[in-house]
Amino acid sequence: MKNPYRSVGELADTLDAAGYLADPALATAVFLALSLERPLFLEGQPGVGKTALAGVMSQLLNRPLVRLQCYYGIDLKSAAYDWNYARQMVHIRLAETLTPAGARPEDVERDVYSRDYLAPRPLLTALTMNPAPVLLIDEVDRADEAFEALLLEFLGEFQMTIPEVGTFRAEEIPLAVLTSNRTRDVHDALRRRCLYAWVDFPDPDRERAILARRCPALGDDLLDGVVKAVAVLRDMPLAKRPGLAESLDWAQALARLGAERLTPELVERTLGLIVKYYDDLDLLRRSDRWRLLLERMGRGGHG
Amino acid sequence: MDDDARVLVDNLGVLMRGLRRAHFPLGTADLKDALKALQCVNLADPVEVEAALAALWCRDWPSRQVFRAAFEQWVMLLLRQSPDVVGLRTYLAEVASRRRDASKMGGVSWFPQPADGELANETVSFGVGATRDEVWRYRPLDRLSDDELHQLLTWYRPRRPLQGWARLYDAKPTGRRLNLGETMRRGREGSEWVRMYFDRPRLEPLRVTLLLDLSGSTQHYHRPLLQFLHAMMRHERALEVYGFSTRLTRLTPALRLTSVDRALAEVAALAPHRGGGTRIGDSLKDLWERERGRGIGGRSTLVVISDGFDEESEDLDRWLSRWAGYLHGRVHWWHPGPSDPRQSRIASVRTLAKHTRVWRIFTLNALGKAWEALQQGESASPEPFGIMEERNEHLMKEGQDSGT
Ligand SMILES: Nc1ncnc2c1ncn2[C@@H]1O[C@H](COP(=O)(O)OP(=O)(O)O)[C@@H](O)[C@H]1O
Ligand SMILES: [Mg+2]
Repeated sequence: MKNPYRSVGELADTLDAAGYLADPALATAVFLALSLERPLFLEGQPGVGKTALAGVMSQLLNRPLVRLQCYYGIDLKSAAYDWNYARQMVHIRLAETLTPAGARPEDVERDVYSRDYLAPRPLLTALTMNPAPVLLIDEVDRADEAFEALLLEFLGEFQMTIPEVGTFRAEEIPLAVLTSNRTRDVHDALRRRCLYAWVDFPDPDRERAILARRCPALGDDLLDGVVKAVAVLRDMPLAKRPGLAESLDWAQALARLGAERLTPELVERTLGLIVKYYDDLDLLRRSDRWRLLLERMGRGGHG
Repeated sequence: MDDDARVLVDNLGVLMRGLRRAHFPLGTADLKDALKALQCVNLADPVEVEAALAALWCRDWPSRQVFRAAFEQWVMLLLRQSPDVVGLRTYLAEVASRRRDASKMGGVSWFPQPADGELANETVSFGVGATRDEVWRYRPLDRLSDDELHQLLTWYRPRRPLQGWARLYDAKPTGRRLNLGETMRRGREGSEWVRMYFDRPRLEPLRVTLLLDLSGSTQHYHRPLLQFLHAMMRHERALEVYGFSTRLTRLTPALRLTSVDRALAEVAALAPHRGGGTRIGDSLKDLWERERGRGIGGRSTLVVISDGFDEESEDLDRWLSRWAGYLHGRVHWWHPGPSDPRQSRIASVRTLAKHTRVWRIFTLNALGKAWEALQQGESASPEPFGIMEERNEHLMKEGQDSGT
């Protein structure tokens, strides 16, 4: 699809206005994906805003969002297309009854395997839609290698071959966004067809801005406390480091509780929102750095 | 192609050559892509240029890190008016060295893949999420399965076998005190140049004797600790291990067996009645009377691994002070379990703490620290993540002061 933005800056500003604060590198990658009409491969920790980016882009470009959520064992039938078996059966029965001499089997078969009986799934939908949508292929790392191979033709040429029918080619190239949480390494062949962007945790300033934007009710003190605590947590060897999604949840919960400042007791009570594994909690309990942070937090109230 | 474009292509070529050295699979098609991309972005903004090229040429997180460094150096090179050959060479070499560093940290699988492929999907890179190895190293020992610990220990090695200074001296060209006799003797032959010889104390394997508490109260730690000691036994040269609950048993021969499973079985056979009361004092007495000069000598370091619960603390006090005197204070106490012995009010615990250097060893990481501290004059390296396993000695004193 044609790139409606004149510069990276303009795109960044539009994203900003829509409530998504992207760092310049990410904005550049999106801009290039639009200009060069190449798929965009986003990699990063869970909860840093990969999925959200696709949503925002579809909103900004005013195109529908076609979403394919990957899972282990996803295949052609659920990702690309399937045959509408019920309608095929009806057609065959009708052909039997309506044609007195009995229909020729080849004809029936040709009729039954035609576009009319195709049940499109997200990938095919994205190809045939006009105007082109934003296609989100979420969490590619969860699918298996067979599925990656299936994506290769699609992402390389934006076309799909269905043996019985022929080749579908996109009239307008959709904006394809692939995301991965890096639970598994995605094959190089797939990466080669995409533009790559690593989405990092936002730096404290941007995080603060995002939180302030999302929960306007939050006071400055609380905001600072949350950003600081989350930054410390991300620096520790946790099995699951808290992403933006977690810090947003936390901030919202704190706002809901009507807190004005972070206190150690409050943190203790709501820690489950950001740290979600027993091992991690355990590690925090034994960590000096965390204890110091809490102590300082507690002292801040008296002094 | 106008001149500006040609210069751009040349310069991009330099960047590409550097990156190729860092194992980026880049070809002519990639150069074409890059030129197309650079037409879309603002060339005056280095952030945009970097991001655009990275989006095209990087494939994963480690390569993204390498790219950032390479790009910075490339810009530095361009800022010099005429990039000369030397500059170019330096640039290429530096990029290549980045790659070496990066490959050390990024994208590696830390564990050998087991046959059943259980770990096959678990490649987590350094600096992104904690690796399994990190998670395990900070997990309490009693919550590690045998298998996890085994995997950890196959990779875990202290820097080198423990060493200590011997009483013997060698004559060496460098050292503390001039060895006149040796200098003269060796100076007799040779030219008019006199080479000085000095006395330098010899390094010898550090002799460490461990007393492992096999009583019921430390039950959860027996297996992991024995597994650890078994691994260390193959690493060290002068290690002796004794187990004690109600009586003292020498475990060294059992732990020398190559197979962990056989070693553990052998230990179980040698010290059958685990559980029952602990007699640390009695064991120290036995050690003094039976093993002094054999399993432990005046130059050894003694390590007591126990939770410190004992019935009679007078006996304990006497024997501990005797050992501490004999070994010049080289008596360590390793405390397994998460509780802090500083806070204890139990008499035997306080007695132990009075005569020993206290370490808590509830994770493999802490255990490694305690191990390295056995070496004389060696202080533990600073803790990267601020988890408590510092030497408790001075804190222990504070605790006693405030307690009494
Ligand atoms: N840069 C950002 N600006 C505003 N909100 C963000 C940003 N990044 C992430 N978010 C918010 O964080 C949450 C988690 O993002 P999500 O896309 O689900 O993460 P991921 O797909 O990477 O796991 C979403 O609610 C999203 O709106
Ligand atoms: Mg997501």
